[in-house]
Order: sequence, then C-alpha cells, then structure tokens
Amino acid sequence: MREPVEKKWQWQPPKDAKYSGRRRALSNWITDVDSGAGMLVARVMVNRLWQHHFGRGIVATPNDFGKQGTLPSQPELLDWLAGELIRGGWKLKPLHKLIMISTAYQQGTAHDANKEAADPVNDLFMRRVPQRLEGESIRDSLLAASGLLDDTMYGSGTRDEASRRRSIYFNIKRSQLIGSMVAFDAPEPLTSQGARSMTTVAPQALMLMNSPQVRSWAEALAKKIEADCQVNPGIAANIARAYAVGFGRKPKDEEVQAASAFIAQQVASYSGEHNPNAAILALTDFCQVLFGLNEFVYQP
Amino acid sequence: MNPSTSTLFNRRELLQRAGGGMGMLALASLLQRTGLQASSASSLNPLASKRPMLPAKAKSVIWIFTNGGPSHVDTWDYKPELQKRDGMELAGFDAKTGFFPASVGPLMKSPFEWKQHGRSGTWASDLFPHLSRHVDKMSFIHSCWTQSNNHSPALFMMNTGQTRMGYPCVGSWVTYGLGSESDSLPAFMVMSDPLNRGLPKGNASNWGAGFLPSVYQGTWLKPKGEPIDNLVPSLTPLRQRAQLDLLAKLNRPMMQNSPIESELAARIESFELAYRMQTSAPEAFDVKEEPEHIKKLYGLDQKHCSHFASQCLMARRMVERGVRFVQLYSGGMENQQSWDCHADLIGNHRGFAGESDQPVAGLLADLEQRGLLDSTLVIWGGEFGRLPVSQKGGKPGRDHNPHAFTIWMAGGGVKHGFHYGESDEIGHKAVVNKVSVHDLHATILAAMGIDHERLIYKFQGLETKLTGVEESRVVRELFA
Repeated sequence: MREPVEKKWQWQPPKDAKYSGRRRALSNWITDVDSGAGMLVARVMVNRLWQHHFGRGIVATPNDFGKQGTLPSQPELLDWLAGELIRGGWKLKPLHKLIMISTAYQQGTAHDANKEAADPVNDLFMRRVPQRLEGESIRDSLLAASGLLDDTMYGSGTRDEASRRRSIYFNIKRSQLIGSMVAFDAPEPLTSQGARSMTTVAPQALMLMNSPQVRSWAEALAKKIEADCQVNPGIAANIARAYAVGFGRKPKDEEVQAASAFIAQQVASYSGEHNPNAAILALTDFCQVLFGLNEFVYQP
Repeated sequence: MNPSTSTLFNRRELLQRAGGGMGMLALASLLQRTGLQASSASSLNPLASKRPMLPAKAKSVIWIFTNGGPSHVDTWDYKPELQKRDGMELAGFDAKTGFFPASVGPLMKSPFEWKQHGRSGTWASDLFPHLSRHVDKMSFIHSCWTQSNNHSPALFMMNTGQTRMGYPCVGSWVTYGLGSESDSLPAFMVMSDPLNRGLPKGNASNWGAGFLPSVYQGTWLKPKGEPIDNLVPSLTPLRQRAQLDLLAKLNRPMMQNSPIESELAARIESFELAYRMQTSAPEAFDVKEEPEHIKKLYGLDQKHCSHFASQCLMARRMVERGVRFVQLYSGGMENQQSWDCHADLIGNHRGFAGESDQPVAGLLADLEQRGLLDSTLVIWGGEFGRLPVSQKGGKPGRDHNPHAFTIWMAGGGVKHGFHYGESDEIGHKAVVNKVSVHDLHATILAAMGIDHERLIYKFQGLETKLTGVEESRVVRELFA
C-alpha cells in the first residue's frame, strides 16, 4: 500500500520540544512543489513581485487565483517566473533583478501611437505607468533626503511619528493607526489586502504642507544643502544640489529659473520682516516644495 | 504539473480576452445599475458627489450615538406592566443575558416620571424635558435587537453590521456610495467625548473603512487641541501660496503626455483643496461666531451641557457645508463614563440625558428652522438596551439587553410622531415587527437613496454589502 502523501509533510519535533511541529508541517506542505501547494505559492509570490514593480500583477487579483479572480494576462510568463523562483531556491532578490532587467520593465511612459494600437489597455505592459510610492516609502524617502534617516535595523518599533527610523518600524496598534501612513492609503491591518488603493486626497497635501515632521525634514535638507555648497555658494548651486539629492539629476534651465525666482521672493518676504534667517528659511520653503513634487512621490 | 509547460495558453488567452471585454461591459453596467458613476467632476476623485440610486430626501446624516446602551424602558419605551410587577422575580430569566449573572435582581420599574407628549401622545420619561417637545418630529423603532450583549461587538455590529472589528462602517459605505457634497471638508466626521471620559470601545474601528479604500474612513475630530492633523498652516498665506504656485509650475511638465495625466492633475488640485481646507475647516468648527440666541437654543451657555451643545452646533454647521455623515458620541467609554448604567441608573441617566437633552433638541429645532431637517436624517440610539430586571447594588442599575431597545430618527423623510414595532410588556424582548441591525442599516441607506442590495464593493471574490448575505428589510413604514 502507498504511504499517504501527508506523511512526507509531517515533522517530528525533538523529544523535549514544547511545540507540536504542526507549523513546520504546514510550511512543508506550502512549499512542496510536487504534491503540495508549492506551484501555486510560487505563482502567487512572483505575481506579487510583478505587481510591486508594474502596479498590476500578471494576475490582476493578487489575493484570488480562484474562480472569482481574473485570469493571468501572460500565463506562460507567470509559470516561467514561478519556475525560476523554485529553481533559484526561493530566493527573491534574483527574481527582482530578473524582472527589472526585462524589456517590459524598461518601457518608457511616453505615448506611442503604434504601441497604443497594438495594446490599447496596456495588457502587454508596453507603456510604463508611473507608480505612486506607498506611504512608508514616501516617508522613508523624505527622511533619507533630509539626511536624518536612522537606518538602524532590528529592535522594537514605535508609534511616534517623529521617529527617524524607517516606517517599517512603526508599531501597528489596530485602534490607533499612524496618521501619516493612513493618509497615504495604508490599509486597516485587520483584513488581508492584496493591493493597496492609491488615492489622491487633500490630507496627503496637508501633511506635506503643514506636518511639523515634514517641515523639520525640509529644514534639515536645506541645512545639508547649504553645508554641501560652502565652497561654491549661491542660489543656483543650492538648487542643483537639491535636485541631485532629491531626484539624482541636474535641474533643467526652466526649473532653475522658477526655483531661483521663488527663493528670491521668499528671501525678500522674510527679509521684509527683518528675519535674520531669511536665506535658510527660503531654502527650507523650497526644499518643502521639492518634497511635494510628483517626481518625489512617484516612481516614473 | 510543471509551470513552464502550460498547454492552456491559447484557450486561456482567448478566455482572458473575452473575459476582459465582458468584464468591462459588466463593470460599466454594474456602475450604471448601482448609480455609482460619478455624476459630475472627475471620476478620479473618489469623493466626487454621486447621484443616489433612488429618489431620497436625506442628503446627510447626524447620528447621535448614545454610547454604552441607554435603557429603553427608562427613556422612550413606556412599560406600565413593569411598574405593576416591580420587585417580582422574572420567571425563566436567563441570568447570562446581561454581563453580570451574579448580580441579577428582580424586575425594576422605571424610577422616572412618565408623561404623554405632542399630538402623537408619545410617552417619554422626564429625562428629556427638551426633547419631549419634539416627539412629533420623531419616528421611533421600539423593536430593535442586536447580536451581542458586550459593548465592543455590539458597537461594531451597530456601526458595521458585523460583531467583529475590521469591517466598513455605515458612514464609510454611505460616503463610498454618495461621495461628498463639500469640496473643502471631509465627507464623514466623527466627534467623541471631550470631557476625558474615553472613546467608545473599539475606538477607531467604529469609524474605520475596513476593506473599502481608506479615503472613506471617518475623520475623527480630536476633542483636545487641533481637531484635524496638519490643518494649521506652517507658513503665512502669502508664502504658502508662493510654494503652491511653484509646485504647480514644476509639476506640470511631468504631467504632459503621461499615462496618468489626470491623476497628476488631481494631485495638483488636492494641494489647492488642502489650501482651502486650512481656512474652511476651522471656520466650520468655530461655533463662537454663532449668534447668542442660537448658542442659547443649544444650551451653549449652560455648564452642564455646553460641551455637547457645541458639538451638536458643529454638526449642524458641517451638514450645512455639505458634510455627508456626522457621528457624534454621547458619553465616553463605559460604566459611569457613558450611558452604561450598571449602577445608579438614576444618577447615570439623569447625567447623560441632562447633558444631551437640550443640545439635541436645539439641533432638531435649528435644523427645522433652517429648512435642513428634511434633508438631514438625525438618528438617536446606542448599541443595545437594558434589562427590565435590576442589577443589584447600593444604587441599582440595569445590565445589557441585546434583545430589545429603542432608537428614534427624525428628519430625512421619516414620519412625524410615528411608532414602529414593540417590545414585550416589560421591555425584555422585541416581539412585534422586530428590526435587526441590518434592517436598520438598510433603512438608513434607503433614506439616503441607496438600495442596500446594490451598494456593493468587490473584495476577495465576494460582492460585499453593508447588510451582509442574509436578507434584510427596509422599514418602509417609517417613511412618509
């Protein structure tokens, strides 16, 4: 008689162990690609990675691969990627790399009549759709740009919004969520959400305009820029440095013009009140504007 | 099966194409059917105002949530039989109905004086000298019942239709269905006790959006300090204006020819809205500028009720400015901090009725004189009722009763001075025309012009509804 298939998932914990080994058995089943759920799990996983990079999964319903879900737009691709994940020993980083060096990932956002005709609803991922960053990434990016990010790993979390650590270190208390995360669509942590909603609403703008944290990060960035430009000071140099930190590129001429005019206007405004810190305040105002730019919160 | 050798590709592809096309058709028709297509503005704005599916009177809701569970047999549900049987044991009573089986006492008559009021001859206890003058505006449901005898689950039930946390609340569903009438205020606002007596049990889960997009969650106004985060401008208007102008200027090039051009345009607009909110929201919350006679009407000049008066007045100002859904909690967390009268029924209910009676009465009168009562559904009620038997103690109280309670509604097209349903002769259980919480929700949605069967959100393969999967009934009898 054949041995029941469950046998191979079961696992006997050491004699004096205080646990039953049922979780180990469950994970054995989950990752068993021959007779367990392994194949499905691999497809679900790579679909999540794909969704993360493109905004939409190959299966558009990441939490539902069943009858109520939608069918994959590229089933062969999904299967091949799932196979790569398994063959690569379930390592995620090579999968990220594989996806990001693909031709699909490197498509531009520009409108192209030929592509549009061939793929009107972008089923084939022929046109890049910019993705807004998730709330956590926005906050982490702001902190990183300001130079204040504390990238210490591990340890306990916090619910203090003034914390400088990455947002993943926010504690989740179900009844008291983190305001800045919720504003940027962090879902309620009670039900599983396959994909976050991405809304564009006024509380997000209010946060970028008025939150004491954002303001203090803008100030830190302004001070950093000023320090970086000590050898070669001047408004144009400051603007160039700010663009380098914020966007990793040089500003265009029109951007330098608009930004210079703005900074001059703010300096005049503060100086009119005989404020001795007019220059740094004006630069802070400018850095805060950079934080609000689409280029800052969208992955192009 | 090896995932790299799927042989179903062609058939799958075909199905996917066909499915995609049919899906889009089905979606478009569903949107039309449910009336959820934005009637104006950009459909990108999840809060764009939408036409209701059905003709409706109510445009907004003010829900006075009498937190903790007021006693129906001591407020609006007159029980002469309970007076007669005062002090007698209730034979066959399940001691586990309430929360304290060891403290079950005998039947206890209402310690308050009862009189008939208005042309409707509505019986009310003397807890509400002000509200009893408005009984001819109200529709009472005396046959409500719920599924839990415990605060948190009963609160979740009343707010979300589920006894567990994590589901979208009524205000979120309504906002999802109808959007916002205001372009400078949140669509759904919640106010809680400002006297340091705590939040309703379950806190923010009571006004959460659950699995609906988080944009539909209630905006809780902090009772202390700045009511909404980040509303105080960090710069002078002139300097901030200059910031927004630069922002728009630098943002525009990235929009051009972008696949998400309209989303990026909406983002610029969101900054303009935020800029306006900085002045319009504090203005809406500022009751100081109201004339003296209005302040007096609500009882703002009286110490014992001024806090609630100011919240009721804020509720009116919000509704006036297009806010869709306002929920206002009377009382704090539990026990003597709220209507949860386990002990000292008299002191407890005199206290909470006293601090809310004139403010709510003032709200009804004020809405009416401004012609807003017809378009505003006012709801008064808690998460459950109280038992007809006493909870023993030095000063007796009453324990939780999930089997019967009364809520009333006023305005929004409901009948005037109308009574629906009955509890039994001592108020123990709802018996005639019983109304479940789902029925109540269906009725609230109906008042807003929403068919509860068609207000659907697709989540994890289910077409979810506020009223769940079992059949619910709109209490049509309530509508004039």
